[in-house]
Amino acid sequence: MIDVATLSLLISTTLILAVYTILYRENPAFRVGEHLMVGATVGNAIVLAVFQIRDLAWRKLQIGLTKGDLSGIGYIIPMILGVLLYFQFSSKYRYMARVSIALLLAVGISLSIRGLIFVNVIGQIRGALAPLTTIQNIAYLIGVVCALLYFVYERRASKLAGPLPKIGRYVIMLTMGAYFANTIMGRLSIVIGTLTSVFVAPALYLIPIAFLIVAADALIRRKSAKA
Amino acid sequence: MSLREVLNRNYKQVIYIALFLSLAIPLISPIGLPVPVQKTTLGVYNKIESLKSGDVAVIGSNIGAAIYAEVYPQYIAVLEHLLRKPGVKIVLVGHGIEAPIWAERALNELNAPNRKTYGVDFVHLGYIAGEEAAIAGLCRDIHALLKVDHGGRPLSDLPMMNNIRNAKDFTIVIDFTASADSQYWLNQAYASYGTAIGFGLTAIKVPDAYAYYMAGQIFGIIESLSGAAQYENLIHKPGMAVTGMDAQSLAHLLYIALILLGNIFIVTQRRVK
Repeated sequence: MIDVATLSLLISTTLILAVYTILYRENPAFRVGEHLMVGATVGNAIVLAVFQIRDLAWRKLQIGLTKGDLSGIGYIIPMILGVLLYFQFSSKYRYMARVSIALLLAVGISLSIRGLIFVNVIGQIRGALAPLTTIQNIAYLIGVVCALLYFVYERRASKLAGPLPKIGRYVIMLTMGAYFANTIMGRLSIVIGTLTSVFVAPALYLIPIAFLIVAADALIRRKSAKA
Repeated sequence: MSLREVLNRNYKQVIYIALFLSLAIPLISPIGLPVPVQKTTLGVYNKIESLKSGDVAVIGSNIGAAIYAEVYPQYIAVLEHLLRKPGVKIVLVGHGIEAPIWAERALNELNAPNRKTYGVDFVHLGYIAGEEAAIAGLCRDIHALLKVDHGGRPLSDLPMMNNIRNAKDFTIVIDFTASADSQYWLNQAYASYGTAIGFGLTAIKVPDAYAYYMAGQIFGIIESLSGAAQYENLIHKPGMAVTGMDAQSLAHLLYIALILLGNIFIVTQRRVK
């Protein structure tokens, strides 16, 4: 008798291998895996969202109404604002959604603006002006100045800057390279994580089966192409 | 069909098989390649080492299935390190819908309920909707934002929460994420209250965080799987990340070899023409 943990491991491994068959070619097994993943993710998100509304707003509103507590009744406001967002789908009443969007934007900007200026402007300038005692600090300052000069499009200023904007371009290219290399490293880590969960018995035995199915399909296709 | 024809017609499939083998072999039979420790990882380790009894560590558990392979090993290693520190209070909080699932899994995997007392040494606040607004609320007044923890227990019933009210009471915050909430912690906790911040990030987020590290705004970064492997070695508990690093190093060697081979192939083809 297979226990639940083994069954879930076998199902997840089958789906992982089905999705990886895209590396061979587009096929129904890949599409089944893809659709199941999208469906499960959306289903999970919807259920969690409904629970969130229930726990964070609906229950508090219910308690507020039964006890006559204004702080609880106040939860009706965010709930109405949330419903208003759905008017985005109606061309006639779209303007009503703007109330919620405007509020979301206003709260978001007002919350983040102070911190953003302190962290991304003042903090970064302070960091760039660190004592030039190490090669790292010198390289950091040169990199910041040159990269900023690259975005100065005024002709006279560009002439005055000489080769610095060009150095800035190389600094930006190096940064992009670091981003790209990190992205590849990240994707590899995901594959490693997936393989780690697959290389466990009995899931491990599904790998040669998958390879055999792919090889058989390749042979059949080759024969039919020749015929 | 000659080898050249196979490579010409199915070079993608050949690369995929080579990549699969370079990843699979070290995972099945680990090689034990060295993993040098970076300054950024050491920053997080030293900060946790410096925590004293009564200090509060807030852990942003923003892990999801998509970033599990990169961030979860970091999360496990840091939690293990924190659980070993006597008297350090741990507050787990998430801003992603999947966060509580991974936090609970990690606590069970590390046997936290039997090693420490819930409510006295650690608390799991669960998922808090609202992104930056929620983090701002947490930093301003936890008790005004939340009445209950993840399991529905009133915060007033959890002894350690009586002394933790706002970001002034947080000694450190370490956010494990792949999204913008690392920036939110900087905006709200560091900028407004001067709380020390560290990150556990996916590889793609690391270049962004380096700007903050270089400017001295964060005390450290655990970088993807390699950072997790370094941390596992630092706490002398090799796990999934250390095994994975062998595979990653071999795959990187394969990439370098493929780049060289590709260039040699192009040069020889040009000469033939």
